[in-house]
Amino acid sequence: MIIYIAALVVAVVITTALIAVFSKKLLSSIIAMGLVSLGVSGLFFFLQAPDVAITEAAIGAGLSTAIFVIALKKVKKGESEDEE
Amino acid sequence: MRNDTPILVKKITALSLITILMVGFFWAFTEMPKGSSVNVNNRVSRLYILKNVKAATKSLNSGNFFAKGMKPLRSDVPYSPITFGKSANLEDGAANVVTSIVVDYRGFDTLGEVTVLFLAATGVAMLFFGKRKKNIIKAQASLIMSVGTRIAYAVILLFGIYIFVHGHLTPGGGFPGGAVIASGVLGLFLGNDHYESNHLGLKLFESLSGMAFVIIGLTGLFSVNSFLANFLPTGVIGDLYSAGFIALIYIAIGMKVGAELSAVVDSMIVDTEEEWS
Amino acid sequence: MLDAFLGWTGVVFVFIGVFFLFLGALGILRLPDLLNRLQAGTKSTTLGVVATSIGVGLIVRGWILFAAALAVFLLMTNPISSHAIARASYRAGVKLYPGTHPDKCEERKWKLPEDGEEK
Repeated sequence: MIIYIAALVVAVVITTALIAVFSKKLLSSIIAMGLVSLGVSGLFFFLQAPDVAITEAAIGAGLSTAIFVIALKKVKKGESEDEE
Repeated sequence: MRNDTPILVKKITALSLITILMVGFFWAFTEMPKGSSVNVNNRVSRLYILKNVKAATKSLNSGNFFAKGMKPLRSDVPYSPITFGKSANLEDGAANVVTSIVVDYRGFDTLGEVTVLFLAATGVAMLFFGKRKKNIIKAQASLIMSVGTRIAYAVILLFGIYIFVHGHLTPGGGFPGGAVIASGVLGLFLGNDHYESNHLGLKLFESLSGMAFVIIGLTGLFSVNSFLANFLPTGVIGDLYSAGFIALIYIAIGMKVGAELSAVVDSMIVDTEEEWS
Repeated sequence: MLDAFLGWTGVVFVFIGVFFLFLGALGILRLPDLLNRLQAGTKSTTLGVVATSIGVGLIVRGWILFAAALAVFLLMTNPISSHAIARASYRAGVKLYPGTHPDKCEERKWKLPEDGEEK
């Protein structure tokens, strides 16, 4: 049973990774990357590594997504200031 | 792949790539050992699971380790299964095997890891160094957000502390606990307009916890003759007060990582005037 | 006797939760615009997850504390996050469904503070 759930998670991870690579908007890429981290943490849990799964969920899906979004906002602000 | 490749070829390539990846992952999962049928007899990891590396190293040195057939790994010591709440005074009393490796047997690597994180946080702080601008409020956070994030912060802080205090009993440890605390601080920044963190206090806290780590290691050096050696009694496995110094080190790491990542979030999210260009 | 009663109560709770989770998924599929979908995705799944965790806590008696803590935390954070998403989407100018009849924010000329405006 668990192998089908794992296969579903793998499909989600691969799809979101492709979205992150091919998306035109950077914000969509960042959100897709967060989803990739979430799925990968689920895969770690299925592979019986709960320590790594917790770390991945806290850092990959939580903090680094937020920090990427903040950095993107800062970069856009700098670009608009240059144009003025 | 070049730009003038027909789009059909691109699509077919991407689809076949996805198919190969899917089949590979599926195959890897079918090959995955079931939880109960893992054979630890022939592996080195059994030494860690049995928590008796010293005796095993002795047998390794005497040449008994890779014996023919490798059936009983240590025939000199009778196999005694470890039961929670009963086995006492093991070499390393942490119930979580990963923690006993990461902090006890390989504690020096963890010190290096913490140092790398410290360097990264210092680099971010240097990049955004400068005088702080007066916060110009773009979008005022609503009352629900500001109250809710403050209530949630207390619960998140408690959960992070739980994760790193119970690092030797349950999955988790200093790094995830610190990351959870930092995400609580991020919530505070997002929910409250005029929130200002005590930057100097964060830096001081972080440095003191890093010093605590090294001081615990030096205590091991002076009392057991090796850096980061376990110098406390290990107690009964599964208890909160067990596993010697692992809990102390994980508390130090958790506070350090939490303060560090909070400082990173702080310096990222607050606008500064650039001092140089 | 008490064990069996609590166990069957837990099963009933789990079924209620699964039903509401299914309604949430259906709502996300069927409803027209962001705010409606947000309502389906938050309200029904909040009740669904809370009922499911309480049911699991009743079936396996050792987990009741964890289940209660999970339910309380979910009840606390889920409405806040949904409120934040809805507010941000309204500010960003996401188009409402044309059949939205009383748009109170527009009727009262309720304006979100502009750039640099003080409280």
